[in-house]
Amino acid sequence: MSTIVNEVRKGFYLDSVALMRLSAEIAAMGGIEEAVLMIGTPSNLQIMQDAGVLNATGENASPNDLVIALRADGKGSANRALAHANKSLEGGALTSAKSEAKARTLRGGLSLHPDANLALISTPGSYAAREARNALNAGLNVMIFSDNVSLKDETSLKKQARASDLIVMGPDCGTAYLNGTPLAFANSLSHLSAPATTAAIAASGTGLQEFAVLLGRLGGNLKHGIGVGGRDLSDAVGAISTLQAIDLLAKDDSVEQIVLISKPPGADTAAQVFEKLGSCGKKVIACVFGYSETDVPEGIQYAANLRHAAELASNSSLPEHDIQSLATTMASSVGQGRNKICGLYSGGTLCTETQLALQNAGLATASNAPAGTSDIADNAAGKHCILDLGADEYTVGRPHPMMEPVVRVDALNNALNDQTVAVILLDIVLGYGAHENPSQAIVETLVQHRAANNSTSADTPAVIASVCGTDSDPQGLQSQRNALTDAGVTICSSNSGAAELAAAIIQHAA
Amino acid sequence: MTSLGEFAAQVLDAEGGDIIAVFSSSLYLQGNNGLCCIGNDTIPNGPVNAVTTLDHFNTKISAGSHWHYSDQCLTLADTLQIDTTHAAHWCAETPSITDIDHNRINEIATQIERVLFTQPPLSGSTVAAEINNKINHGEKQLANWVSSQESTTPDFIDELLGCGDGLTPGGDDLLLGAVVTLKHFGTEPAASRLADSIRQRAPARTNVISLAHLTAACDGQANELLTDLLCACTSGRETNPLPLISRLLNFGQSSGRYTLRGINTVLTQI
Repeated sequence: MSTIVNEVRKGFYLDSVALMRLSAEIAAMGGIEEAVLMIGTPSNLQIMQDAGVLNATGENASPNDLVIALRADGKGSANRALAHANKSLEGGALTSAKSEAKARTLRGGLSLHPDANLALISTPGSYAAREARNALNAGLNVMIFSDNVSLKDETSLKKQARASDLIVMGPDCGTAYLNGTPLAFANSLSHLSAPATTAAIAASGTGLQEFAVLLGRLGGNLKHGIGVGGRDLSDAVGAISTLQAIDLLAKDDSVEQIVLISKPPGADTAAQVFEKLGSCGKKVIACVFGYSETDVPEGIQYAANLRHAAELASNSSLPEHDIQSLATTMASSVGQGRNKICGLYSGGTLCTETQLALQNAGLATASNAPAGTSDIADNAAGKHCILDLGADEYTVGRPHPMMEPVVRVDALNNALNDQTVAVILLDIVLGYGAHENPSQAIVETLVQHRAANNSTSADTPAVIASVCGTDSDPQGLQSQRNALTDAGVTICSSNSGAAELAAAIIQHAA
Repeated sequence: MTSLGEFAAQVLDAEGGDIIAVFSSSLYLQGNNGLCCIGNDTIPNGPVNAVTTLDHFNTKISAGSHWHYSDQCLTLADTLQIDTTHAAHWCAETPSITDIDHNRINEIATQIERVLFTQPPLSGSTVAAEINNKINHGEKQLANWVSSQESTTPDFIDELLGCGDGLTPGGDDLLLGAVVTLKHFGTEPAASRLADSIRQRAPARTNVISLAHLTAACDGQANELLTDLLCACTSGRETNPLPLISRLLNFGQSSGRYTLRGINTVLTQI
């Protein structure tokens, strides 16, 4: 026999977060069938009545009262839950505890850390330029994590920085390494013992992460990774931060080589950048997505992709699957009518790299973030669709898939159920800032799909992934790989390797 | 204090009253002229809001204590003083709209719909399902009422007012978004008729905090997150609405989501 208990707190207001949190806590207690804390408006009282949690006590509540209403399997459970609610409401457990003194302004931060020489700006974009300007005026280098900073502000800030021999990294700079210290979304390099003699200049995010990770696996080590933002190499900005970064790195005697990772620069800007790189006195490697070897000036080494850049920087080769042999085997399991690759990426640069790898293999691609000859995603019919799930249209009002991999589950389920998809490509990005267990949602989805469909290998697409992570990342590289492997995912050593394997499977299955 | 909304300023004119609610980042003052929300810089500029540089409010002040205001100084519970000398008077931008760009409105409505589609409301309990059903039903009636442009009284608002969990119920937030949008575009007589009905019925059907925000909305006044988005509907295509939609969506626990639904209900019908 269920017991209904109500309590009314007159003129009592609790903020929404606390209300919902306490409601959920009580609902999860043993013996509780339904529990709710709501204001006692006529509309809510009717809802509570219909849900069978209201009694005569609650019926007398007014809109300015808080109603605690619960239905339990007995008086004992009900009283325990009510006692918990009252303890939380009276004990202040629901209010935010006063935190330790923290700087709330740039000035406050400088008073706490007067020796700081870098400010990391992470505010809504409309405020970022103002804060960055204040930081520059205070003599600080700036890393702007925020996006939605106008082109005009970006250019102005970068000019001011260069005039003061400072640098602005970003905007939308998600990743950086300074003296080996990872900033924002970045993989740990603390396990590496090799001398850090390589520096990279990149747009901002997963391209730099993938390069740092692969370099480490190949025995190298990254000293600096400077994220200049996705627009820096455009003619509109004129590579102000890239040029400043080259000057700064040229002065660092411990840096022996500089790797440029970027999309194609603007026509006017490219000449300036390559001229400065060519005269900086260091070995230079250029990994410019969409460039062929002939596009890179003499004296600068051309890297076709991130793996190639890491191999050139380390004078070593990454062990990779025997792609053709593995592709032959995997292609034999591809079901009738399955001939498409579906890429579901959390990293924008990794999505770009995959599109170019597939195009190099003669495959037509489409994407919401088109690269090379890719068509837009709306015209994906007959093409291999490679999606950047971290792009704006997927992340408005919801977390980025690197922070919350669950947001990739719907797309993964759609791909698993699509009878034309032969291969699903995924990136799993580890490191600081990323989700604590990014493979979990993927693994659970694959296991559930298999169980629900009682699938054979021919009934489902092959799933291929690369894990961008290191042995010292907080998520544990090996455990992430093992979980994916156990779920039937083929793991490749690099993103480009995964894309090449996928292309080879399609070609063998054709 | 850095900014003071129009309705908040009227409350301070009463020179004193009770502090009726205290949260970690804000508190509510009650005066003869309504309610004023005093908050730290995590609350937006708004008609009912007064933004300060303070950090926390719930460590020294408790609900039920008193406030006084004189000589540009607000004193809370005899323990905390806030100088209002440099507070900027904040008022929502109310552009005069002579020509509605339906393509732009459709574009923004589509983006709001996409965002809301990817973020369905939480469910799971019987009560949550009941709330969703009621608000969905009220939302459909609101859409029909706006599109029909009938001169009927919007009786359906009884179902929405005070409906939902949280400090400001979702039904109120939805109506707030709708009435401010109607006011913004000067959609008469719907705007005035809905505002009049809310003014008349809300006092008996929701709490005083939600009522304060609704009352301002009935005069076309809402916080900057909402008004910035509405201005993007009429300010030309150079403004990317996605960050504005995102900002509003993430306001409060669920207030932003329901406000967006109210805005969208109107945008898709005018």
